[in-house]
Order: sequence, then C-alpha cells, then structure tokens
Amino acid sequence: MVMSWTITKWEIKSTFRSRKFLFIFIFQIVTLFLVMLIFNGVLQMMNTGEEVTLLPSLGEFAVLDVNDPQGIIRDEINPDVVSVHTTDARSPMGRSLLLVESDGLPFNAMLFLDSSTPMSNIVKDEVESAVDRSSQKITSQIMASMERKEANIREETVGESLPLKLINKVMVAILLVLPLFLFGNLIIDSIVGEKERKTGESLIAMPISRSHIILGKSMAVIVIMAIQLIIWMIIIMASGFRIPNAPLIYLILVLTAVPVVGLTSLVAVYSKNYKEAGIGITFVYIIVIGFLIVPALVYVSQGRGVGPLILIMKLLGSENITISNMLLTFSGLVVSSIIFYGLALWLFERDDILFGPRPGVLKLLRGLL
Amino acid sequence: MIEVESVRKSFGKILALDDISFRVDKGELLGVIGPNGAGKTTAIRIIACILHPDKGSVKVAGLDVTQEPIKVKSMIGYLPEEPNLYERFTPRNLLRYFGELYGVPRHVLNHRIDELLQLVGMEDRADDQINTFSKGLRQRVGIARALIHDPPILILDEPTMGLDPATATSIREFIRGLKGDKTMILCTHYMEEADYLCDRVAILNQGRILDVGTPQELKSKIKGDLALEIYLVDPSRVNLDLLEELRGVKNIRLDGNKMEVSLQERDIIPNIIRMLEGNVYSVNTRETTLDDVFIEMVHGDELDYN
Repeated sequence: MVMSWTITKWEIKSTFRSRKFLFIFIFQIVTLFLVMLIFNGVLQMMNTGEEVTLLPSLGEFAVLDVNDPQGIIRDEINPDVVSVHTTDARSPMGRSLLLVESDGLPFNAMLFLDSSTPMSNIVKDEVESAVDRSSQKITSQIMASMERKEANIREETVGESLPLKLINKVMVAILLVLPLFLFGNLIIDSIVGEKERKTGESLIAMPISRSHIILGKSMAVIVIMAIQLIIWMIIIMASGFRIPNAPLIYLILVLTAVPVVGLTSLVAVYSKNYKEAGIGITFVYIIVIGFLIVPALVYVSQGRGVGPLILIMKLLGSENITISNMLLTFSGLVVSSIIFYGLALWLFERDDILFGPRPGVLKLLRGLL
Repeated sequence: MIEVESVRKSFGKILALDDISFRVDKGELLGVIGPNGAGKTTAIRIIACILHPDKGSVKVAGLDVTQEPIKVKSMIGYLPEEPNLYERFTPRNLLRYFGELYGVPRHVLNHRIDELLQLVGMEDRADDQINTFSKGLRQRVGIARALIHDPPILILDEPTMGLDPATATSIREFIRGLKGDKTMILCTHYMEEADYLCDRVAILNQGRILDVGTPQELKSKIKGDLALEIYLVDPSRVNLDLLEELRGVKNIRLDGNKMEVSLQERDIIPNIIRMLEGNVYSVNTRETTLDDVFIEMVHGDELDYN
C-alpha cells in the first residue's frame, strides 16, 4: 500500500502541476458559482411570486376587445402591453375578444384569438397573467371573509411548491453528484496515457504489483474529486442553499465516487487509446447516470426508492433515513466497487491487455466464466 | 545470477519465445542479438517481470520471477527500448519519483540523484522539462532512472538505437564503465556494440537461441579469424573445389564477381592469389566480425526453418 500511496502522491502532484487541469478545475468552480447565482435569483423570484416580464411598450400594437361588465379581469390587464377596448359583443369581430361571464363568483373567462397574427401571443400571455392576478385577488378576498367568520381557519403560507422542491432537492443533489463525472478524463489520461506514451512499461518494471498501480492511480482521482466536492459544497452553501447533514452527504458522495472511478478504470484498462476510452466512458457514464437519476425521479414522484442520490435528496430535505436504507445503499456501492476494481485489476494483470494482441470482450467473458 | 530455463511465451497465435535457455553469471555482460521480431525484448521483459512466461522458469539471484516478482524487480534496473519518460517531469523529479517507487530512503535519494545526474552529464538540465530534450538526453535520463536504486542487475534494451555516433559512443563507454560492477543484459542490433561490450553473446532468431558464446568463440565457429574479399574478372573461371581443399580456408562464398574467403591464417593469402592468377581485379582483407556470424547463423537458421 505504501507504493500505491507513492503513485497517488505523484499523480496528484503531477495533476495539479498541469496548467490544462488547473484551467478546467477553476473553470468548473467559476461555472458552478455563476450557475448558483442564477439559481438563487430564480428561486428568490419564485418565492416572492415575482416574474420577469418584458414589456413591449407598443401602444395600440396589440388590441383586445373585452366584455367584462364587472371589470374582474379588465382592470388587471396592463394597458402598456395590450390596449383594452370595452365592448358588449359576445363573439369575435375580427379582433381578439375576451369574454368574462360572472354570476357573482366564480367567473368564467373565454379568450378568442386570431392565431394567424403574432400579436395573439402577446394578448394570450397578458390575459393569462391578468387571470392569475385576479384569481389571487379573489382568493384573498375569500380568505379574508372566512377568517372573519372562522377564527381557526388560516392560510398556510409555509412550505415549498413542487418546482421549488425539485430545485432544492433534485437540482442541488445533481449538482453535488456532478463532480463525480467531471474527472473521467483524469483517470483515462492516467491509465490510457501510460499505454499511449508507452511509459507504462517502466512503471510495471518497478517493484510494485500491477494492482497497486491501478489502485494508486484511482486513489489520486478520488482524492482530487473529494477536494473538488468540498469546494462545490462550500460554493453551494455560500450561494444561500442549505445543505443539512453536510458531512454525511460528503461521505456518501465520496463513497459513490469509488465505484464510478472503478468503472472508469475498467474502461481505461481495456481501452487501447484515448479515442476508445472516450467512447467507452461516454456510454458507461450514460448508464451510470441513468442508474442514479431514474431511482431519484421515482423517489420524487412516488416517495420511495433506494440509492445514493435518494439518500442525498432525503438528507437535503431533512427527512429521516432508515438504517436499512443506508445499509442497502452502502452495500450496493461496496459490491459495485469490488466488481469494477476486481475486473480492472484482473485485466491489468494480463499481458495481452497491456502488450497485445488484445482479446475481444466476448473472449474475455468466456475466460472469466 | 540469472537462469533462464526452457521459457516459452506466445502472444495470441504468435510464438515469441520457443523453449529458450541461457544463464548470465554475476558481473557478466551478456549481449542478446537477433533480427527484428526474434524475441529479444520479450526475453528481457520476462526477466524484468514485465511479462509472465507461459512455460519454463526464470530465476534471478535464486528467486523465481513468477513467485517473487517484487523482490526480483527491486534488484533490476531496466531501460526499455524507448525510454518514454513523463514529459511534464524534470529529470530530478522523475528520478525522485522512481527512487521513491524503488524504496530508496529519502536521505540517500537526494545525494543519489545528484550523483547520477552528474554521471550521465545532465546536471545542467536537471530542472528542465523532459519535453524539451533530444533523444540522446532522454536516453541519458533513462539510464539514470535505471540506476537510481543502484541495482546489482541492469537490463538494457537497445540503449544506443537512433542516437548520433557521439552520443552512442558516450553511452557505450558509460556501459563499459559499469562492467564487472553490475550483471548486465544488453539487447542490441549493433554487432560492433555487442563485440565491443559483451563478455558473451546470445544469438536469437524466431524465438530460439541459435548459439551463446564469447564473440571470439562465435566468430571462430562460423568463419576464420580473417576474411578475404576478392573481386574477380571472370567468376566462371574459379575452381571452388580446389580452393576449399587449401589448408587454412574455412569457408568460401561466391556472390556475383565478389568472392569471400574465410581464413584461419594470413599465410595462405599468396597461395590463393596464385591460384586465381589473371582472374583477380582487386583484393581486400578484413577481420571477421559478429556481423558475419550473425548473418551466417540467422541465414542458415532460416534456411533450416523453411
């Protein structure tokens, strides 16, 4: 293990000395920081109910005939956006028509649009907003009248809407998992690079087993990922997102990195060159991301499921985690790590994989079975 | 020190080594010569524990390479055919990295690095990146890397291939300076290099060892000590049978109007010229070289093989 650590130490040193890597490393951090700023802005707007609206300021550009004797919606339409003309017509007469029928409350609104003109979209958007605003007004009036009569009834204002829930839980969880897939190129360069540059022969001649070479190189990538994860978590928290149980989430992420790096190592060991490895990890990562995301989506929609991403989402939502959930997730990670590293080390021990002629996947599988 | 016994190695359907056996004594420099694809690199890679033999045994200082590869590797300094160094490293960093991998104690390592950089004449470029180096400089760094742990055994695969004559000569002199101190195996294409440096030479062809011996022994097996090159006016007028009966003539080869006669002694040259009187255009003499041995043996082996 001492020799593995020597390889790990030098791989980390060499990686951080590389200008290309440093550029990518810093670029990722800056990108995340900007993404978080935008996220934060969107979330604040969602929380306050504000929306970003672009006013065309085109007087008399979009015109709407409105039949709304009580002015329920008419008064909510922004005249800077749509010019409102009061009418008592009940059918469209060549222009867009909004018909509001109200027998007390609730009301029914019908919008007639000439879809052949681009103005219809402006009218549609503004009417939708106006309907939304008047709907909120009416709801408030109802609530106010109910509060006066029933002292025990009050409006619930605490809680997150579904989009907020998705952003807070799913998006933050995905952002946290993302670094695990950003350093595939490091392990590819570290292992396939030894083959392409033919430096591997000298390394194999060292008094260290081939398994320790792979483990040392993998460990270096896991350490770099772990550093990156800390930085990402700090940025996410600094952007105003709460990460409850941060140490436990960090542990889960680092443990999830182990089989991901193991699988990448397996692809790298088998690949002859960068091109093959690049194609290989693209396919493999799509499958891995699927394995992580699909259970997470099932969890969001149905509230059940097991997996590292689900654990992280539960922790982000401050939900209770059962020991069985933890055990199932961790044992899944351990078993997949053992399988991926076992296969990578088995392949790396073979002379034909390192010096050719490389056997096909089917032949290897037959040999393995 | 190194014993190779009935080793066989295949790569897929290609038989790279076919039951080869040889040994290298302590302090000896064994040269391995052979054409491309003869199995030289495969043989030394097995000794250096880089490849696993399919059959047979290889022992280094009594240790089996398949049973105790880590111990064996720590006794060997290996210079591959292409040194292929890490481009972003400096020689000093590279030597430190490999020194640590060989387990050289930290307090010894710094001194050892300085010593080796001086030995291979790289002290001025010790902190420059390797990607700025010529092939000759890289080879020097490669040699220093192979020696970083002061191994008792050194395996060198084509150390002078592709180098300019001056650099090649300096590397040969460096290797010569290590003779006696280290047990060495040297794979080379250059016969004069093997002749100049090696105590014994193994000739390898098509995965088999054709012969092992000192350069002198090998030369005397195939030809005499001296070769006589005669350019003839009319080759059809030569009576080869009569010439071969002359005492001291070992071998005669006629190629167009050039006749090559291997001799054991210089004294019979006048007799030969007398027998060819009127048919001689020019005469040259030269010492028999390993080149002659190599061509003769490999050519003969290929004829037998076919």
